[in-house]
Amino acid sequence: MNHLTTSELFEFIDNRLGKERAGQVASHLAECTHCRRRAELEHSTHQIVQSEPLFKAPERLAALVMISVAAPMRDPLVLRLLSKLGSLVAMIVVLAIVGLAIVKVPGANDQPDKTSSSITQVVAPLSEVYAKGMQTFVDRTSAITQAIETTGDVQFWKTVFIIALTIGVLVAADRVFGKRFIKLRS
Amino acid sequence: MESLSDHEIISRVLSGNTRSFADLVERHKDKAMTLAMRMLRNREEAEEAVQDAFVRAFNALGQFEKRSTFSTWLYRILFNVCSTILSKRGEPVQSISSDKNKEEWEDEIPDFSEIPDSIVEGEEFRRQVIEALNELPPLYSGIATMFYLDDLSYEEIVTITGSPLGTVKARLFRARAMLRDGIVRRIGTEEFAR
Repeated sequence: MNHLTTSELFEFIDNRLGKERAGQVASHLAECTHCRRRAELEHSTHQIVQSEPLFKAPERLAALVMISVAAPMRDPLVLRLLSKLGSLVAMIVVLAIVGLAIVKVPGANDQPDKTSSSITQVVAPLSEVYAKGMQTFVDRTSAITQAIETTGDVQFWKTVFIIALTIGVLVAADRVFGKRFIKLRS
Repeated sequence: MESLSDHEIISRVLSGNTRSFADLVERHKDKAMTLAMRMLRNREEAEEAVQDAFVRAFNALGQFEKRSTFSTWLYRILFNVCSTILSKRGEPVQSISSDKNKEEWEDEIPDFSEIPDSIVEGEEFRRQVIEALNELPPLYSGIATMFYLDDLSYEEIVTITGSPLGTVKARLFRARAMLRDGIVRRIGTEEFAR
């Protein structure tokens, strides 16, 4: 008598065989003590694993999960709006500074060329950029300061920049470290 | 205390009673912990994985489709969290690379049909089965746990792991093969095999 293959035996136990083949396997099992024993042992293994006590999760898990999911909702609406506003202001300030550097400030030895774009002026030919690079950077940094001074009260812009930067750092810190405080090991 | 179904609790949470989610956590935390422990084999990491999975489940609860059970959906999230942890550890969840085809696997499966009842019914056999299960590679241990412990169907395991049906069947077969092999080696009854 040919015994059942293990995969076929498993598929029978798992109810994965077609009706006809399942009937044939059932008939075989009724006659073959060897295969019947194999099926019984698979069943025993299944029962042992199923009846094994579960690993216990921490008692306070539900409380910790609820703290974690409630944390973002606890912030008042005003604070959440302020944090978003802070990020927005910081982004605008950075973009404004970069914009000034590109549009308002020509290179130290450059003459304004109305026919070419400002960006083209900034992106100088590679052969010259490296030699002039550091000097140009220093020149432009001071030129940026001058450009800001011409647009108004430099102290005002400095204050706006510092506030925006502070809010941005606080928001980033909250995102990065906030969840750590309520981890399981806390 | 009234006993609500998982779906009823989810409806409550989605309608604003977020505290009800704690009931879902209480109901499923130990089975989730068991799956995480079998895959990660480290209590601290397993606890963090389970907490992370529940938080993710809460945040994505609006996307839960009630066609499946909450436990299957949670397992899927947890399986991915555990897989990520294993990858960070440098133990990516993947099949054992093997050139063996199904027939060769078949030939190597120990047949423990000759193991006497006196052994099978004893506490020692039970202990060896569990130890052999705990020593399976993470992927196979996870699949075997879902299959044996929760009686999940092949299709539910497909949903959880995101693998095709054929892959799940092959992995489950290998998991059972390795489990048998582990049991036979442990109880020292190779002489009964075949």
